Amino acid sequence: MHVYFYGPRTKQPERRSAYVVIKEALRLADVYVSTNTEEEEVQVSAEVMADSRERDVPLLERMDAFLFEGTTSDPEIGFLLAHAIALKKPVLYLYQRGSVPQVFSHLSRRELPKYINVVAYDQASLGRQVTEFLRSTSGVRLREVPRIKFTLRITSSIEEYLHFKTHNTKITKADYLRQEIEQTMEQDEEWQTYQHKRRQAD
Amino acid sequence: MATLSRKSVALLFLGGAAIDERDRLGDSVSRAAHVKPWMGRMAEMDIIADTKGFFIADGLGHVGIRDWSRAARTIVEQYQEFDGFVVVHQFGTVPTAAFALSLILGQIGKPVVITGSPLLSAAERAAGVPKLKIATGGEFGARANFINAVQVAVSDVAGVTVVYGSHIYRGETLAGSMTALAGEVLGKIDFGIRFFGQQSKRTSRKVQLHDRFEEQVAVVELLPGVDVQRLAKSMSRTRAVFLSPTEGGVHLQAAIESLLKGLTQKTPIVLYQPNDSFEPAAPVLRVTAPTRSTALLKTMWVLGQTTNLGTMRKLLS
Repeated sequence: MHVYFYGPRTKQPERRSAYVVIKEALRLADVYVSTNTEEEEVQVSAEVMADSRERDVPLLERMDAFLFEGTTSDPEIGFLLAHAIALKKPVLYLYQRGSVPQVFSHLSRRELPKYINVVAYDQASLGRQVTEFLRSTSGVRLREVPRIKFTLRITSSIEEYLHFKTHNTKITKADYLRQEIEQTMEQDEEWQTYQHKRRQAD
Repeated sequence: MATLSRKSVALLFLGGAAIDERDRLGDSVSRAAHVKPWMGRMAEMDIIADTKGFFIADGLGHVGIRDWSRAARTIVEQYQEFDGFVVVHQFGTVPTAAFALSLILGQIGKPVVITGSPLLSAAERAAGVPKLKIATGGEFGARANFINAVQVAVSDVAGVTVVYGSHIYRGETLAGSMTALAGEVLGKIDFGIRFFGQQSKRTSRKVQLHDRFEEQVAVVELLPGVDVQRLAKSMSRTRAVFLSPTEGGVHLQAAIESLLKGLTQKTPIVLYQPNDSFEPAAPVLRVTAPTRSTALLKTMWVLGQTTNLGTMRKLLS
């Protein structure tokens, strides 16, 4: 999972320590985190980087979720939020309790999609709120990062078939196989019921 | 809490607005009545700036000088009202439009950002607008182009630029088609808009419109076997001859001399030959431009601005 965390540059100690808490929660969740805070950091898988370059699409299009610290008005947040809405990607928009985020005054309630979570935070609740957001996104189809290496011997006819399906396309044979398995998982009601029960038990 | 001043952006429609190929109301703009529903579908742009749409052309047919001129006039009329302008344009002809608007608007002090959607509406498909096969795209690719364009339109940049994919190009330098775009890259879009420092900055100078193009220009392709002298005799109403050898093996100097003999009046001959060091003698002028079509546009524009040969030579180079 790829997450982009944006927080405006600030010298306020409270906000800076909030950034530290957010990043720590993201680190513990074992997700790829790109952020502008402290120093610009881009952490994406080699696969995502290669795809972005090949198709000439901005990296932000390959993010699975966005996190903003939006206590103060910032033009970059508006830009990123607009993209997140267009991408239909889950957003956690955090602002310090007691402040009012201005950015939403330009969208009516009807225009604010369900996957945009606007949450007031205090230092004590911040880490938990980030973790809960990441957990809640499990209902949304995320582009998980394939980290597990799996060697599979195949027959020459399967190889021929994979070549037939991926020849002259932008996807690799491995991508094609992953997509097919994900589609099977999605359509497998038994598996979906099991997953649902497991989430409830957590 | 700090509150930033709200910026405003005008969107001008000349086709290329499809955000979904299902063709519901608001998925594309081919009539003035479609602008409002389309803006409603792209409400996320309003997070960045206050936006207002202006219908210029349907983009279903040939988009050309008259449409670009109308777009430029709208920009001049609305110049004080908006911080920046986004031209939503028929996708395949974006590079030529960028070149034309760069000529018409000259040293404009605000951003004019051109972009378009690679998707086609039902009306565009029915009108035979060609579908270009591109790697970037889909519904999000189209929406992303518009969001990026609005963000560039509120940035500290001036002049005509093209936003497509993850790049911001200087409008007048574009060559190639939208499938293989090449030109001077002014900036990149990743997690924000990042300029490399070569862009012109906003200025408070007044905008000037230079939208006169001379359309009586004969385009002559020098091909072996063509009787150039005889061809020239049929060009009595021509104000200039745009000459572009497309094949090798043509004796250029001899062809030009035949052409001059055939022309009944003092008609300027403008030569476009990008990869050749041939230096034509007077009264032949040489034009430089990224492509053949932009060289022709530039020729027509220069002839619309002046009748003085010396000034023409200066403007064409």
